[in-house]
Amino acid sequence: MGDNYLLTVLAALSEKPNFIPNLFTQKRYTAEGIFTIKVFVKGRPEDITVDDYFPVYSHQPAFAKPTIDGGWWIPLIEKAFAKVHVNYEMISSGTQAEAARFLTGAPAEEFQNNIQTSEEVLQQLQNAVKEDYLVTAASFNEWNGLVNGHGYIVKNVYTFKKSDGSETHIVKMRNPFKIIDGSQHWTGRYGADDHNSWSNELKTHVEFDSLKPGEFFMTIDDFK
Amino acid sequence: MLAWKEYPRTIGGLAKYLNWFKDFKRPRDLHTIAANTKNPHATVSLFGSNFEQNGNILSHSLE
Repeated sequence: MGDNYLLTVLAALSEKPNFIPNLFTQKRYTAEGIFTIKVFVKGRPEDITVDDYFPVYSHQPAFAKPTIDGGWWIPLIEKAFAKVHVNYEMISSGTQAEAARFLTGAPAEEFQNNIQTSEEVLQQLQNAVKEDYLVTAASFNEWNGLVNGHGYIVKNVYTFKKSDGSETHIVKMRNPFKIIDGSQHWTGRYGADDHNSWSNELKTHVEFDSLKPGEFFMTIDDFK
Repeated sequence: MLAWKEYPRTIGGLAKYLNWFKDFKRPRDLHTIAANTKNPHATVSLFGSNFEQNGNILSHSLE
C-alpha cells in the first residue's frame, strides 16, 4: 500500500523484548475481536481501539498481511494508525520517523545521508547502536538487489582491522520484507555471494554464520 | 497487492475498487475460507504462534 515505512519500524521494534505485546491491552486474540493499542498522537499517549474487520481482496487482507506464523498484530496496528489518520489512503506515504514517534513517543531524527560524509554517517550509526537506539533506513533506488521504496533495519556496525593495518567498516542490515524474487537480496560488496571480500577472521568477527532471515552486510560507503 | 496509483481508472476498475471496501472480513473468517485450499492460513493469533511458544515475535517475510 505504500506504508512499509510503518512496517519497517514495527519490524525493528519487534526485536525489542516485549515492546509489541506492551502496545496492546489484550494479551491474546479475543473472541470479540476488539483491541486497544497504546500509541502517541502528536506526542500525547492515546489508547486507540479497533475491531478486527479488515478490507479484503482475493480472500487476503487488502493491506498489511499477518506474520507467517499467524500473528495479526501488524494489520491491527496498521488499522489503528489509519484510524488516527482518518483512513488507509492517508497513510499510503510517510516517514519512518513519523511511525517511530507514533509507536514510541520518543524523539526521532532523520539522517541526511545525501549531504553527510561516510565518516559522519559512520559516527552517527556507531553512536546510535551504542545507545541501543532504533535505526532504520530506506532505499530509493533499485540497486544491487536493494528494492526501491523498501525499508531496512540497521542491526549493528562493525569495524575490522585488516592485516595491512587498514580498517573496514561494515553495517549489518535486515530486510524485514518478503523476498518476491531471487534478485531482491544484497548483491554488492560483502553480500552473501561476494566470496572475495570475506575472510574467515572477518566472518568470525561479525558472526556471519549466525545470520537470521533477511540479514546481510554492506560497507558504510554503500550504506551511505 | 496493488498500489494506489495502479488502480485502473476505468468504470470497471472503479467498480472493483469500490467493491474492495465493501468486503470486510475477520481473520477467523479468512482462516476458515482458506482451510481447504492449497494455501491454508496459519492459526489466528495476536502475536503469532512463535511468540506463544518461546516469547519471540517473528517479523520477517512481511507483506
